[in-house]
Amino acid sequence: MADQTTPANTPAMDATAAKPVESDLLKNIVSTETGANEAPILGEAPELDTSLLHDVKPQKSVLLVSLKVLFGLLFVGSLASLAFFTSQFTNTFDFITSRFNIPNVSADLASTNAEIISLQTDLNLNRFQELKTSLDKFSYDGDEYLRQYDVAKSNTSSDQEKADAKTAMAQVRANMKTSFADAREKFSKNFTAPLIDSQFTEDAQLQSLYDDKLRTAITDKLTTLSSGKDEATKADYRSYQQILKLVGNTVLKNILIQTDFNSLKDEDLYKMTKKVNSLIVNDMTSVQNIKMKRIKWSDIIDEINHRTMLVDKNFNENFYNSVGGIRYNSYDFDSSTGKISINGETKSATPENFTMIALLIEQLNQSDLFKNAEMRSFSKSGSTDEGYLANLRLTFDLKNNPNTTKTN
Amino acid sequence: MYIRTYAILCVLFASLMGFYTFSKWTDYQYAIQGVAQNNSLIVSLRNNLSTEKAATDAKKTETDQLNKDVAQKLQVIFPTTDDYTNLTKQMDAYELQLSTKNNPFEISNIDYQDPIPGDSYSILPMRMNIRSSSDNFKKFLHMIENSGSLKDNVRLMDISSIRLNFENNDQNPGTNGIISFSIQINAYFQK
Repeated sequence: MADQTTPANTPAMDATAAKPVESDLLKNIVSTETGANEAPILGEAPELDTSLLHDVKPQKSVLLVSLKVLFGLLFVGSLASLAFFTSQFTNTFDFITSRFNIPNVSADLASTNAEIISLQTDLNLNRFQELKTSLDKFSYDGDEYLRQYDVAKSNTSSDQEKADAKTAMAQVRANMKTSFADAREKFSKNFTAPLIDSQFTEDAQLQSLYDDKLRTAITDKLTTLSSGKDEATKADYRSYQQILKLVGNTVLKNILIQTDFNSLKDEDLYKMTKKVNSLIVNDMTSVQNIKMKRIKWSDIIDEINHRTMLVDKNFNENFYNSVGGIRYNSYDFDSSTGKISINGETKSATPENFTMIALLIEQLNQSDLFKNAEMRSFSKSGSTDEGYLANLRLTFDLKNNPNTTKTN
Repeated sequence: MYIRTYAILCVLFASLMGFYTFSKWTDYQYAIQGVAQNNSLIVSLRNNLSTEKAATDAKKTETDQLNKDVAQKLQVIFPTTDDYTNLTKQMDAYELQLSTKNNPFEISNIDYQDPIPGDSYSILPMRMNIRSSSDNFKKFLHMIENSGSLKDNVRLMDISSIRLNFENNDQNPGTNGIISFSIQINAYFQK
């Protein structure tokens, strides 16, 4: 080892004074230059006394100190920033923040969002209850309007019946207008509240969220009410079931919002009422559905008479025995198949009974109500003196039979 | 050497911390404003809910009355059982109302068949044989066609089939000729 008291100006390298310590670097240089078996050209590698560097101290620098301090501050600041934002945006430090009542903005945002959803859902449920009430009133008055309209438009109603029906329609229309406006006002309201949440930036996303929440709320109510046995609970249960059908009913919403009630003619209101009835569910829905599938046999009979009179102008005037023409003995109507059979006879002074029947078949097939009128076998009896008689056995179908699509 | 190292570290840290803090601070400010906005919305929603519930409660009596009215009328036009006795009484009352000496309407028999249950409602099939004037026949058809109205309290029915026979062949429907008809009717009731 070199002496620690060696003066600074003493040569550091002294191959002879100290015990030779081989430096690997110098050794390698020497060995490379001289080869493995030759004597080193430069002699033994000099020894490096590193202990002399211990007393060499770097010069003190204000800039370096400042940089160190700055670095320290930045490091601490970074940690503080990291800790603060972690405490605000995650639950990692909840065990501390909750103890010291330090708010967590992320949790606050989530809880206020949840409260908004809850309040808006309550509001929506209340609005849908009111909407149902308005639609029930509309349907209730609409039931009478539909009936009176049918009477007013029926060919078999008397003039007095038609006039009474029109008066009744005007009265009912005023009530329907009020309930329609109420329902429209409810549907026009905003059923969504904005949320500070990147998942729900689109209106459609919000609408879907609130619809789902409302359905869940209604389902919860149904679950609660399902075990009730008293009439009031059963009525509430039915009511919530019916409200559930209104949620997300965009077709109904569009009808209510886009229709200008005042501009509706009687026929338009009739059709719209039927359409609304088909889109809602209430205690009268089954009744309305049955009514919509009924066949108005009085109109059918009236149409048969009308078509017959186009062939035999004296039909219905009791001239059969004296003048001849067409006479029916029996009708057979079957609403399940929509098939109609007519039995009768034709009487003519000339042998043109078959022509009369053929014309009748053509007339029935031209009707908007009938199709497939046919009679494949023709027979007649008589003479020029007595006149001619031919049997009539016609069958035909209703063109639009609501019962062919009947579902119960 | 040290100075350069520290300088680079300081710049690096300052940049990273600045970027991180700035971006998080923006989010934080957004969240703070969001909470304030949400709180304001909550107050507004509470007020709306309170107002609308009060309005609903105010209309509750009217709503309950409507529901009660509908339920009572439905009990007649669309009962919960086949209720054939009341239907029979209704038919008798109708006969009494229509039939006159020169304008007959005579129900000779009513046969009720077994009810047919369905998914949404059930059907009580019935067959009637009636002798009637043409005018009364038309009125009877109207009565069936318009049955089930909440205002009229007539049991909901429809015609399944009709077989008409004209007694007096000199006359046809539309006149006051006598018609004997057999009619198959479906009367409906709640499932």
